[in-house]
Amino acid sequence: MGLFDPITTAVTGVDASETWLNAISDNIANMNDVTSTSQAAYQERFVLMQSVPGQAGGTGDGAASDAAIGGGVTVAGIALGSPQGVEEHDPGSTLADKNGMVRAANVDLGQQMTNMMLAQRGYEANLATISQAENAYQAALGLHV
Amino acid sequence: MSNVFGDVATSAIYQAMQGLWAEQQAAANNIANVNTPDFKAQDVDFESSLAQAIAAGDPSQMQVTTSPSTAPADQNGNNVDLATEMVNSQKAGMQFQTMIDAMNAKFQLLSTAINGPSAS
Repeated sequence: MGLFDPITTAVTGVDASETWLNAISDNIANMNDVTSTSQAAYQERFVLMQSVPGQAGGTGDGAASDAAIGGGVTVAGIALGSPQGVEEHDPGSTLADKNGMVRAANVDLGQQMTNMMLAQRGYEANLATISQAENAYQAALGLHV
Repeated sequence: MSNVFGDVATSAIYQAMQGLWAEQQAAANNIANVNTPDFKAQDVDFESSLAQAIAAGDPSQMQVTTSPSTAPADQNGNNVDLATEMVNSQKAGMQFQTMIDAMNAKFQLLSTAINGPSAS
């Protein structure tokens, strides 16, 4: 067994949740972006999460379960939403084309807020895992003759 | 394992700690993947195998088995239940602590046998 495995695993979860929170704040910060119709709109950021398979090839006791149990999560990449955005009628804007249209970002605030709650919940749960594992190490340090 | 430091009790406690560690690791992995689409939670079992191994007189034959959870999945295909995982992690932690206490008690017995009752 790797000595600090549960903590390492939980840290991958904290990192992934943090990346997601960053993407969500980027999306919310840009939700009111407007460009001219000849340009691309702000593209919503989507975080792609992927589970990490267990590490095979270890030796000694616990090597088999090390290989069978996954090693946490990783951010496989960031996908971008459509550059189409939504065309809005705003003839007063300096960016408006001859039809009075502008291109606005297509970010759903409700969806972002929901995602933010999920990301926050994931972040906190992983921190709880770290303190749980810490207690177990503390207990192991109490092993003495 | 027939010497005084490697008897069935010590070996059983050690194997139980290995199993509980795997449970802790699985709970950490499940929690880390609470938001991963299509992830299926992993269940760890070692108790039944350990009971058989102890009955057979050699706890080191214990196998830790992992299996995907059959809990119903969310809309995104993920079936991690955060509450269950927190309880599992907490439970494994407390059992681990108990095993440490048991190991300490065992060492205490050996220490008494070696040094006599006055030493502690």
